[in-house]
Amino acid sequence: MKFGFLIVLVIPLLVVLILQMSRPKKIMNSNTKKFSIRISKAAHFKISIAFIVLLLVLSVFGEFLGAGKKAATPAPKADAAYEQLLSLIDNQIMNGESIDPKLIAEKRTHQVGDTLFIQSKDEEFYETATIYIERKSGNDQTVEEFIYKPLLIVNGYDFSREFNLTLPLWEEDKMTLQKQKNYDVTYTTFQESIILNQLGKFKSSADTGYDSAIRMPIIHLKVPENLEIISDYENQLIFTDEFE
Amino acid sequence: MYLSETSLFDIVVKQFRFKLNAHAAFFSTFILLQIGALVLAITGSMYSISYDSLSSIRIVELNNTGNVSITLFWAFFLGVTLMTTARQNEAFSLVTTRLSNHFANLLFMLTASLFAGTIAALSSPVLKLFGFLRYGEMVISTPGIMDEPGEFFLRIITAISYVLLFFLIGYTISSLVQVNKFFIGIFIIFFIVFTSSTQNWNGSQYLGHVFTFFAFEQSPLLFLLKISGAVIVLFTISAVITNRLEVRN
Repeated sequence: MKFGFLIVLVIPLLVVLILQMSRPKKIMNSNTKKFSIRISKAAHFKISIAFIVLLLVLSVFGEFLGAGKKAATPAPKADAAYEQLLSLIDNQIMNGESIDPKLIAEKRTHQVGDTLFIQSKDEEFYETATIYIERKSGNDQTVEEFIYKPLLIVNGYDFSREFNLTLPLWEEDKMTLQKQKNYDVTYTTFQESIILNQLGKFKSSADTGYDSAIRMPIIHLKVPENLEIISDYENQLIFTDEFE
Repeated sequence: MYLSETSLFDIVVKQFRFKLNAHAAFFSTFILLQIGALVLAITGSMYSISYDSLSSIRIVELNNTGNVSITLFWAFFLGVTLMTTARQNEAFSLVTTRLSNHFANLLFMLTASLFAGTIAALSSPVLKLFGFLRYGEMVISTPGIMDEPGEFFLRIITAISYVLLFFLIGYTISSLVQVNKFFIGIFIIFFIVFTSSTQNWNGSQYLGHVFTFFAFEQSPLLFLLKISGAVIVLFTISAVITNRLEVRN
């Protein structure tokens, strides 16, 4: 908003300045009462030289003072096979296969009685997160909880670390899904025009479109065989044994 | 034998100065266009990806492609203007030949390319500065003048080369049109044919070959050779075909 106001202010000022610099010569026509403003040739060249000098000064300022201090660290490049990661965890849970430990954000165990209540303070969490429930053999009254990292990849860059998951809260036989934090991340990039960089070592990306891949948080609960699970949102829970 | 004999070089320099003065307003116009392009470039292209109902990531991409494109368009337009009938007739106010007029035009185009190409390349660090001021932090994919001064000078050379090439393309097209207005129709047909595609025809691939010939060249020496070659060929075509127009139109 401030920037827009600045532009609105600067452009008319610039026009007035140029006109002043050019020493406007009003040619009055007594018959028509119209006048035209002529910019002298010398003024055109003065404007041109002044602009180049201004660009040079700003370039020096930008390159020597600003760039080194404020250049941000680029987001890490996503795994080349990130598209497979989107459904990999879901498939491996459903097939009972082992999952790469690197994908686990948090692993916890909880003691429970005969019943587990699953509730949420944030209804939307149920719509976005996937909760898998796998029944173990035996009744050790222990719930193993695996929370897998969310995934957000934009244009091949991994922004997953920008979004921290608020872990579910466990109290005795109750698991409460917490309201997630609000993240509004701005990622600004600058790159040279592609054709200007064609001879250099550092090429600009020619990608004009963008793609994104999102995987919502996955919670995998390994529960005792006879544990009764009560939830207001039972339809959102996926019981792996029902698909066997 | 004459009381004062002038060489071709003197005539060309005199004419070049005349042309520089006659086209002075184009330089101011170019600067205004660059300021406009810079303002637009600072706003950048922006898109937002929603992670969930609460969180999102906003990607802001800044680049100086607009500044470079405007520079090339300006060069093309000025190249066309240099060979219009009105501009050619102006040459009659001086004692000149067609050849000296062409050389003066070439000198003018070289000077204008130097000016415009440098400004186009300088738009990048300036844009970076405004980007920092506006967005605070920015990820920069190409190194600046301090880190890689050689890269920066290569960018200036590339910009100047492309501007000169676009000057000559405009100049040659305008020369052909001066010889025969029929060329206007031919160029329009060419434009339609080489930008359209049907089931059996893909015109843009031919333009793509021309584009890749220059834009995919990685070696600075070969690139300069290609640009120089194209400039010499285009200039020669313009000089040869308009050399016959000896009288004022």
